[in-house]
Parts: sequence; structure tokens; C-alpha cells
Amino acid sequence: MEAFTCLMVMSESAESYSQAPEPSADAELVRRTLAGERQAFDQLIVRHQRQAMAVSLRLLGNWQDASDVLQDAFCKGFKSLASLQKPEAFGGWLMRIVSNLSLNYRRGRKLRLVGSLDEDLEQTGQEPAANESAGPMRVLLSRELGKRLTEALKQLPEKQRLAIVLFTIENQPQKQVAQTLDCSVEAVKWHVFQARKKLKELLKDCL
Amino acid sequence: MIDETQEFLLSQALDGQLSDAQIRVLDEQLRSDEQLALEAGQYEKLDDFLHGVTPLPQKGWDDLAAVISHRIDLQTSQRAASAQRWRWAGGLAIAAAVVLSIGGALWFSHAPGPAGEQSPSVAISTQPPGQPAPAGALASRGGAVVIVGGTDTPAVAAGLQVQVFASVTSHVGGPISVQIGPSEPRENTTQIDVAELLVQSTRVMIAGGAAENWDATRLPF
Repeated sequence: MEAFTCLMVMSESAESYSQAPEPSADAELVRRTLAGERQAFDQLIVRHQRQAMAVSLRLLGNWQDASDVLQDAFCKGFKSLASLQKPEAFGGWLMRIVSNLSLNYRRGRKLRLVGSLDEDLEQTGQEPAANESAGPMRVLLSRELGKRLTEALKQLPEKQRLAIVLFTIENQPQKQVAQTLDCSVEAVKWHVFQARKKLKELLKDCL
Repeated sequence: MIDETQEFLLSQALDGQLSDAQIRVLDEQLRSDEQLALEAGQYEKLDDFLHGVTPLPQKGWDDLAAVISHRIDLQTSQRAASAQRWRWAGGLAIAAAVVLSIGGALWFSHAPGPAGEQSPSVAISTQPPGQPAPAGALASRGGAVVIVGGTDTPAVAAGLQVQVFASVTSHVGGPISVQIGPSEPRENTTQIDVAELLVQSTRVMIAGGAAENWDATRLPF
């Protein structure tokens, strides 16, 4: 019972991570951008850049590469904004662009050989969000483990990696992840499960 | 040994996807199955780990947004400039096409015909239309005037000749029917048309437009 209670606590905790911008506000900004108000797109950038960066960073493991991809993604989004069928779905649409560009970037072997996520954290002066008050499990969030996680994520198949990054780490709604992955919600659940299973094996000695 | 269904349920539990009934069942299983409880603990730690890693910096976002915005502006202006260049290029291409078309038309209208079909020089004959006179024959007053091809005029040497076979079938005061080439009859309503055509191609002058007024002295041969 105790273990399960912990599971439920984790689930609630995941909810609190959600930072998805308000879709209706996005829709209005999209409409204003399409009407020629260039500054409206700047607001969309501000609203979505963190989540976009988080996704790209998880997929690429490198801040500089993720930053490059992010610029490309927003430029592409701006250029093809008129093709967006549902303005309120801008966030998911953009994440799909970010995900695709990130994966293409990886496939293009443009990844920098130096600089891991962990090193990027050092450069930006950030530490993993270890919270001592949260208990001993937070000890896992050491630098070494952060590096291990990055390496483990790289070993996952693309869809599983994307699913676990978007849904579990970035707390995107499953429906949005399904749109990004171009699959059903049930498939997202399965990809997330398979990713968890593999990560558990890859990080077994840390868990 | 934990089967995949139970593991999937654990994963679903982490995501808060199970119903109350499923939760009760899983809770029972966790209490009775140590292995499952161990697995659940590992999944729990893994999820905690995944949620806990937050590498994004708290500052620098304004700069990044500015960089992205600037790049969009840059690309937009580049696209506009590129579109402008293409418009210019398109205009130039159209102009070039027009010039080439005109030049080509002029060239083909002056170019010698295929070997064996050439009738590059001009003569004016009194032969009836459709019955060309020998090269060098001249027009006379009255009757139809037939301009036929020949082989030995300066215009031919200069490469200015076209295959000309024109016959003027009526005189001043009425419309003139002109045939140009052996199988391309045309109807012209003025004599000037004939004159211009012939001046261009053969340098033959037709003064006044009537057959009677052919200025044979100005013929190049």
C-alpha cells in the first residue's frame, strides 16, 4: 500500500509540472499573427520557448544544438503558420515541429561530440532540481545520474523517447503527444510504458 | 516473474490512468507480491528521477526569444528580397523572351529555307499567280505581278532573304491578294503591306502600291 501511495503521489506531482500555455490565448495570438501583427508571434515564442527547448534538449542532449533547432522550429512555424488548421493547437503543432527537427538533427549526425546535458547544466549554472526535503529518492538527481539518464534516453527508439520526454518529463497531455507522434492515445501509453521499462533496465543499478 | 500486463498497470498507475477498481486490485497485488512491489518501487524511483531533472535555466529566455524573433525578421526580409530579385529576374526573363522571340521570328523570316526549297532571290514576273517566272524576270505593266524566288541576288548573299513567293493579283484601287510562299496564301488589303514585306525581305520597293508603279530601277538586281 505504501508503494502504491507513493505512485499516486508521483502522479499528482506530475500534474504540478504542467506548464502548457493556454490554448485559447494561443489561438488569439495565431490569428493576430496571421492578420499581420508580427509582435503577436513574439508572444507565442515567449510562451512556448521553454517547453520547446525542454523537448529539444531531451532529444538532443545538447543546449547549443537544441537552441539551433529551436530557432529553426520557430522560423518554420512562423513561415507555415497559415497551414495550421486549429490555431488553438499551436502548442502541439509547434512541439511536433520541434520534435521532428530534433530527430532530423540527430539523424543528420550534426550532434556535437562534446557537451552533454550535464555539461550544459554546468554552463548555464543550473543543477538538477534536487530537493533534499523531498526525501532520499531525490539523491538520484545527482549529476552523474543526470548524465546516465541522458545516455539512457539516447538508447531508446525515437517514438518511445519522444513519448517519455513529452508525456512523462514535459507533462504534455497524452492527446497532444499522440498528435505529435501521429498515433493514438493508447499507442502513446504503450510507448511510455515501453520506454519506462527500458529505462528501468538501463538504470537498474541506480534505482 | 512479473508479467507485462502487471508492469503496464504499474506504468498506468504512475500516470494516474487507472480506475478506482483497478487501483484496489493493484493495491492488493502489491501487498501480496513482493516482486511486484519491488518493481513498483523501481518505476516510482525512475519517474521521480525523470520528473526531478530540470535542466532548463531560469534566465536567458528573453535573450533567446529575441534571437529567435530577430532570425524570423531576418528570414522574412531575406525572403522579401529574394522575391524581389525573382520578380526582377522574372521581368528580365520575360523581356529576354520577348526579344528572343522577336529576334527568332525575324531570323526565321529571313533565314534561307531547306536545301532544295530555297528561292532566295526575287524577280518580278508577269506570269499569272501560281506560275512563277524564272528568276530574274521583271514585272511589266498590267496583269498579275508575280514575285518568285531566284538564287543570285545580293540579298541572298547577305543572308537577308526569305523564301518569298508573292503574287499580286489585283491592281491599285482595289484589294490586293498576296501569296507568300508556295503554300501560305494571305489576304492583304493594302499594297503597302506588300511593299513592307518585300522591302524587309528582298529590298524590292513598291511605289504607290500598284502593279503599274513597281519601281524596277530600285530592285537590287
